Amino acid sequence: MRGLGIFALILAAAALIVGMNSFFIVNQTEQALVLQVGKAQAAYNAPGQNQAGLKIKTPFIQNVIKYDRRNIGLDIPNIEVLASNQEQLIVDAFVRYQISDPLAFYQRLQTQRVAENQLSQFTNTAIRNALANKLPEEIISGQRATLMDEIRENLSTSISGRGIDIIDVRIRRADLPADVSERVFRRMEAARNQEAELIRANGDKQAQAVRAKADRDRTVILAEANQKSEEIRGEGDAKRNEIYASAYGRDPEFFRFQRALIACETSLKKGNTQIVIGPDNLGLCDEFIDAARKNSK
Amino acid sequence: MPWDDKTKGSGPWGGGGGDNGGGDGNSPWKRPSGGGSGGGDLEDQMRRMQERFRQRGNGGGGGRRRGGGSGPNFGPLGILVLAGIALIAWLMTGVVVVDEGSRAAVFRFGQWQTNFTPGLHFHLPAPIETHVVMPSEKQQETQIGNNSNEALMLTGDENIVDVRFRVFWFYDPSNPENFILNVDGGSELLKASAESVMREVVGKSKLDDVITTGRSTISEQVKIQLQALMNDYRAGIQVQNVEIQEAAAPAQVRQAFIDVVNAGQDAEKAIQEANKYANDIIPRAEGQAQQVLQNAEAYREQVIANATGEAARFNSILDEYRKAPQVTRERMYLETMERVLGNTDKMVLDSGSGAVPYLPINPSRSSQ
Repeated sequence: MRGLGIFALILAAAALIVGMNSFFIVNQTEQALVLQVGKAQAAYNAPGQNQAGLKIKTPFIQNVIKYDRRNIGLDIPNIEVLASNQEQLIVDAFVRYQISDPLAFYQRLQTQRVAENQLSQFTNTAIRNALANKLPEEIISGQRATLMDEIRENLSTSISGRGIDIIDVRIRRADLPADVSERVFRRMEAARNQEAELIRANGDKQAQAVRAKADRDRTVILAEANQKSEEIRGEGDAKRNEIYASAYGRDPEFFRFQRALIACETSLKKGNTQIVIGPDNLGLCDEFIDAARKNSK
Repeated sequence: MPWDDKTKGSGPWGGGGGDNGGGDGNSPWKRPSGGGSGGGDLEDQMRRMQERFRQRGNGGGGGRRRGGGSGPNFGPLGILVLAGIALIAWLMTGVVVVDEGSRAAVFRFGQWQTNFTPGLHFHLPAPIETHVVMPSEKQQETQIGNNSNEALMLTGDENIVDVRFRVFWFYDPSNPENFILNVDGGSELLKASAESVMREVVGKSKLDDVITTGRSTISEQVKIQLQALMNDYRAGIQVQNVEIQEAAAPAQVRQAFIDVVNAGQDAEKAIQEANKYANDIIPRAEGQAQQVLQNAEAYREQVIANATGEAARFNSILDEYRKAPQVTRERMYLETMERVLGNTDKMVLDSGSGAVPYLPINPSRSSQ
């Protein structure tokens, strides 16, 4: 009875170990390769298939190697690229890849670490080759998408046969090295300084124009006022002459006489005139009025 | 596939031993039943436990005596109770409470089955079925540009711009499980992709657009391209929006950029001062013009008035003169001479006296 119990226990333990060794679980995110004493027997849940779940294998003589099935990311930082104009660029890229053929992957690379090592080198080369004959502006702006496609094609070709599928290669950054960046900063600064100067100069120009126009307006306003003023004065003079003419025209001879008297009087005003005369000439103003006197007779 | 057949039927565990026995040859479940472990074992225990409870119910206290007779005291009963507790604890691993805003992806032996919606759910206990809770409706936020390496980007016109932005995203509502099933490091993938796309878009833009008016266009483009990329990767990510927090000149040259703004203000100020000058002098000039005009008009009025007055005077004298011309002439002449000679300094010299007239120049003036 007791011996039977022990035997049952041993049997159960043995069954458990065998059972544990007969099953394996393939997660949705994994793929598995079954090797029977070194020879590949089966692959489960490779990309494109939906075979995750509980699997059986022959205990002890079959072993299972699992790989990631997902879209895996790999960063490839600090690739130094010399563009076609000898300008250096620092490129950071990342690769998205997937293990598409677990058997080929196992045969060629065995582990993901080895794979990523190789992938890094190949990507590095592919990026350098693709960018080496391009100008920096093409890398930075224009053809970025095309270039990334080209890099992906090249990388796919060079990595082929290793059970790896390149999903995408993307340039994450393409930056200038520090000293070149410094040059760019100085150039930007210079450009902005120029712009600032231009803005200030334009401001001064406009201000000057406003001032000049104001000065011109002032001059014109005054000149026009003077013109108008002269016209008005002339109008007044004309009117005066007209008035005089109409009055004096009634008797020009008498006007000359009367006007001569007035002229004589105003030109010999008190205080500023000294007269030296002989007794014969006491009729001082004779000369002024001689003609008038004769004409009146 | 054998496994699918099982799940569509009564389930590997619900059927118990009978199901195992009737299963097809490929079924993995054939082995556990044959090996005497797993389901068969459990079934056995359950049956024995039920038996034990029934005995206790029937015999009351007698059950204990009978139990004691068949083995060590309380041993089997205690083991059964413990086993029962363990069973319940085990079954409890299949209870899932999903919060609102989350989904639980359910896996059977690692194979994705379905997503549980919010609420109480059951699945087969671990390790047969497991679940992973995904915060599928929670808004996630990824910040890019915290350090200058990330933030400084080259623009299409070969300038450098400082761009900091955030991506708001959540799990794709139609296939949230893609996020955990299809891609490795989903958040990091989103960040790297967002950075790559942003740099590509900024690389096609001009600096002035990036730092001024082009922001919304850029964030819209980044959103569209990033979403396309996520769809390509089947990453199970839905990009909600891309928010550019800062797009400015880098710190190294910011002073020069500020100076441009200042220059604008300086220019504005210069123009305003000129306007002030204009506003000052033109009204004054207009005032001066008014004065000139008024003076002119005053002159006109004055000369007309004078002329009119003189003409009136002449007319009245003329009227008088015509009445007695000769007398009036003489009188006017004499009156004028009287006024003129009466008011001036005079010196009378006799031309026949022989005296030499020696005249000091301006004696009266020099004495003054």
